[in-house]
Amino acid sequence: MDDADLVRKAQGGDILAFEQLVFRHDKNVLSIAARYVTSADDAKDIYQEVFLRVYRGLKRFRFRSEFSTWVHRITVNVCLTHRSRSRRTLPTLFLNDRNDEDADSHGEIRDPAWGPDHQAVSADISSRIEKALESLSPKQKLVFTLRHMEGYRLQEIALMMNCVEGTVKRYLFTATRRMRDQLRDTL
Amino acid sequence: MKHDEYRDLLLLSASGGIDADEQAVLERHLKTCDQCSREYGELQNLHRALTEHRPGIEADERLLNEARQELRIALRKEALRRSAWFSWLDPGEYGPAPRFALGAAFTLAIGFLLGRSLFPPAPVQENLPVASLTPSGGSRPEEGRTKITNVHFIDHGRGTGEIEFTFDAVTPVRMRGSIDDPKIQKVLTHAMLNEENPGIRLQAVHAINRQDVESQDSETKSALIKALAADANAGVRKEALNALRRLPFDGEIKKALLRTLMSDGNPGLRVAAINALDSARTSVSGVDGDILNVLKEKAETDDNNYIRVKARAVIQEATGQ
Repeated sequence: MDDADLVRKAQGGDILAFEQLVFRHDKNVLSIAARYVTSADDAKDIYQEVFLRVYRGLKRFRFRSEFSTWVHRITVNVCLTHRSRSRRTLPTLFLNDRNDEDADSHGEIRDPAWGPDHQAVSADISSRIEKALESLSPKQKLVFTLRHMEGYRLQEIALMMNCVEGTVKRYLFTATRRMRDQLRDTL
Repeated sequence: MKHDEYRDLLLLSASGGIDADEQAVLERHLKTCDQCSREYGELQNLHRALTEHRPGIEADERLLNEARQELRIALRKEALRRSAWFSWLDPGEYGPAPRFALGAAFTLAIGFLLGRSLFPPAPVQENLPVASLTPSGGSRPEEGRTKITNVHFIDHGRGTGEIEFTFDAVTPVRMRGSIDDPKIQKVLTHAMLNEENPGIRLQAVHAINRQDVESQDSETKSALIKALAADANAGVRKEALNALRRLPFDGEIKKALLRTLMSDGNPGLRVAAINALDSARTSVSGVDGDILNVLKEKAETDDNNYIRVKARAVIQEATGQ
């Protein structure tokens, strides 16, 4: 069953069809959100807001675009207007610490080369990258993360942002230049 | 092409933003220009750093499951809110009648307030509801433990010697009776859905699970389905699923089990759901299109090995493929 069939069913009130639609697209949505913000709570907030908007707007969806494009557009809009719930962005070092604890608790064996020095350097670089990303405008940051970290094509990003490819290139161009300038001493 | 134009190409090339022809032109230029070549190296470093030290957080399976669980709860609240207000006021679904009804109710309320201000009522003589609260059936309020809140004065009794007010009285009530008594069932379903303490919710589902199947009404079934779909505690969801398995299999229970199989983050619950669907298939219903669709998806995508294998086995048995 394709997306359009499921959308029609969901528009008729079939909650199971709606859930199937969510499960088809929610990994991408969460992935974009998780790259755009730096806390799990904020990523989940964005995820939830996206699908609540989809749920509320589903009856008005008229198949003028692919369902996935529509969901991605909503994701972009929610990301761009998102304000961190509690400004509780954790320093990257804490995030990495938490992940390490989780790895230990699952009994995973670490690469011996992944020593404390390496971790500290890596955390430092990640922290600088995050700081540099924060200096970009929301649109620049979103285009930059969608292209560099999520691997979307420029044409796909233009569709998501409802603009022409040239505009996306301009954002990407400015963002890349600023990132390079800010990280020149780090890299 | 001017030097600055090559530099623009350089920046875009770092993210793969140029086509193959432009890339070829750029590479020819890099062989002859030290400055651009150095800059190209810097951009390559940037791209490598972004790959190796990816900022942000990983959208892993655990985070996805948490997000799905929270979304399910939010959707349930949204659906309740819509059924209470939105659908009533939505002219698209029900035509203009509700708006007229709302307008009429508003006019009536204004008339009522005007009437009260022009012709104030005589002081009320009879007892307030709390005063007439008497034990009935197997329940009785516990003496001396009534809590009074939200006192609201209506008439301060200036000159008349009488006073009128309302208040909320909360009294603990002890109930004792047959587990199949509808009154007891009502309290249990309320506790199962609304208690904050998961231990109490679990006890409530346990108690419901001990009831005669025949004494369980559609309200209890709906409450169990809600608990299975939205309770934050996996133990409560599991017990609700067990209780649903005792009831006659129907479309609502099928949907609830499919939803659990599709989206519950706890593999134990998904295993219980697929087993329940398999039992229903062999004893009652067979496999319809909805079940097959979900099983096909789970056979491919579920991260739990047992569920993938089981889904394939059920599909094979049901369709002979």
